[in-house]
Amino acid sequence: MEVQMGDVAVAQRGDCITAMGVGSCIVIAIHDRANRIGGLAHAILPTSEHPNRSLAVATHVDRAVDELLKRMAVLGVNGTNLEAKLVGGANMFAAFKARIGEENVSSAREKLKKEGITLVAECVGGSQGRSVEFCISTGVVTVKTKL
Amino acid sequence: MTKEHEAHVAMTSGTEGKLISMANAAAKSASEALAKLSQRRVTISVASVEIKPVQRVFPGILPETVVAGVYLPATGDIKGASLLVFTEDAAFLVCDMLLMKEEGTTRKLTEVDISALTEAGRILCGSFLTVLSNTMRIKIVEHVPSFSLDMFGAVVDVLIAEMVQIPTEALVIQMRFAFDHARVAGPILFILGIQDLETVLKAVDTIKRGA
Repeated sequence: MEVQMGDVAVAQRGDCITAMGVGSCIVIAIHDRANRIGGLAHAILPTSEHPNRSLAVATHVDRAVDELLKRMAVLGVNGTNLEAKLVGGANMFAAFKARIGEENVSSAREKLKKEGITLVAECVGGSQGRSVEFCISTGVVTVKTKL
Repeated sequence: MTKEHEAHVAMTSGTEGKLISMANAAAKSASEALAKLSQRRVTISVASVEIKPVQRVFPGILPETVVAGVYLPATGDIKGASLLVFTEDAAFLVCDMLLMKEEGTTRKLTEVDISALTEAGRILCGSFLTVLSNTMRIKIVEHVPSFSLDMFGAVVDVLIAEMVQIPTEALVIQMRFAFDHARVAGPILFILGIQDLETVLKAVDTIKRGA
């Protein structure tokens, strides 16, 4: 199952969720290890004080995490003992003045802290694109980069 | 993005013809500059000019396909950015041609190769912006270009991120390049807010043919 920019997906047990070619976007993987349920959000922009509700549900980091938790709750996650991993937030072009990648990473860290979700690992920043695969049964997140 | 959109800004066939003429004028000036740089005969032709939402410019390219992108931001009376995109193989061939190497020599990019590709992108995008600026008599300031060779999805996602909040579309010029007998193709995107794009098209529309 592949998650496009601005979208989220949840899965359980043997499934894997992927996000391909992630640059400044931030991928947030949340895992309920005990119940083997997980979800992945592919957010485009940091948390906004004035979010545009007409945009895709996971455009902004905060709404992406909220949507992910909502969908995981439907599968039986009660919101405790959740672990998160972050991937992305690169700055692909040196000339790009707006530090969208960095802001996405900060926003995601803040949102996870606010929700009481433990951030256990991250592969963020730099100037390289990444592809992500999140296997729900093990909680393993694999990151691919171009060499 | 999950939602697919059609372009909001439309252009008449008359406007399209004038834009092709302008792009050809820019291509002529860029080919002269690239010929000097590469010491080869360079021909650049314009295959088409279209307006598309950025997300739909590259329907056939997978997110993990490696591409070379040269990004050139522009400010002034209109604000936006231009992006020249080559596939990895096309970028290698362009390096061979620009740096007087035998065809097929480049298999990885050195700092010199990256610098040559960035300069070619600046010349190509800059030529069109100059023609646009002179024709419309508006101020367009080009900024420092930068380069990335990476997965396609990663190269374009920051541009999409910039545009999510403001309705934006891309003027896409499909170019064909011939360096002596070697041929490559690649699009140039001029990404503008819809309001600026409409201003540009309106101004182009008022230009008399041949002006």
